[in-house]
Amino acid sequence: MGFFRSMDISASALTAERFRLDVIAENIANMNTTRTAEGGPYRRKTVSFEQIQKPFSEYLDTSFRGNGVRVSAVHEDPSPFKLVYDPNHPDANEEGYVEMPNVDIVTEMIDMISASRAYEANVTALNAYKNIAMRALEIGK
Amino acid sequence: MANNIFSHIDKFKVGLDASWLRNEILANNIANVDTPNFKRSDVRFSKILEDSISMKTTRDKHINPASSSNYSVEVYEDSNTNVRMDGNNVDIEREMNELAKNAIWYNYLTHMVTKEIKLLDLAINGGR
Repeated sequence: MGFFRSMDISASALTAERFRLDVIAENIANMNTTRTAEGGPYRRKTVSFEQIQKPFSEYLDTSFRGNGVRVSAVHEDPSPFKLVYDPNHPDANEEGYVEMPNVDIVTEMIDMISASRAYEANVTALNAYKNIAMRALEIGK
Repeated sequence: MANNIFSHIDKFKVGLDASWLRNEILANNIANVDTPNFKRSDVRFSKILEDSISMKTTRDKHINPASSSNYSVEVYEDSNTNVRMDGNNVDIEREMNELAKNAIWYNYLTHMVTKEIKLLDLAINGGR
């Protein structure tokens, strides 16, 4: 156990949760985007997390349980695009349907709340660490 | 009768180390609240403190567990709690609660160490 490891663990989670919030914001911002560089409408993106594995230098430390979390990958949601009938839209097909992104605003909002609550939880953990570290410095005073 | 004036402080040190480690473990649990297949870990640290206080040394050659450096802080993976759909068993309310308790416990231990040092100070200075 190192003096600042708790802080590094919480900081890694703050980074990961912020990244997740960024991706959710991108999904919400592009919920009506019908043209992308890859062609076709925007595809919803999701983030998956993984534990930071034990480094070799900590291999003999049996009390070591992890170094926090990191983003392992950004996935594209393979679910089908929504078809909306709008014949006046420039991207409408022959039948008058437009392929809209597979972003569901309610899902994104719920994910956003979940990510920001997780962020707050990690800030609390960071503050708890700061409190006990300050107390450790006050021993004997 | 303690043959070492720091024997009490050494006992508190066991608790302080365990509490410090537990803070790390709990921070890691909170950090991995959304990691699929992550299982929470915890420290059996009240047990360690009880053991080190309840063990008696009746002879000089007996090893005092609190003052020896080979005590083991037991970190274990908790598999007795409910697992969510994503294989993760971190309950955020529980973790925050344990984190708050652990911080208070750490504060209590530092307070006791400070008191112990003040008592030694009093004894050394003869109350002056």
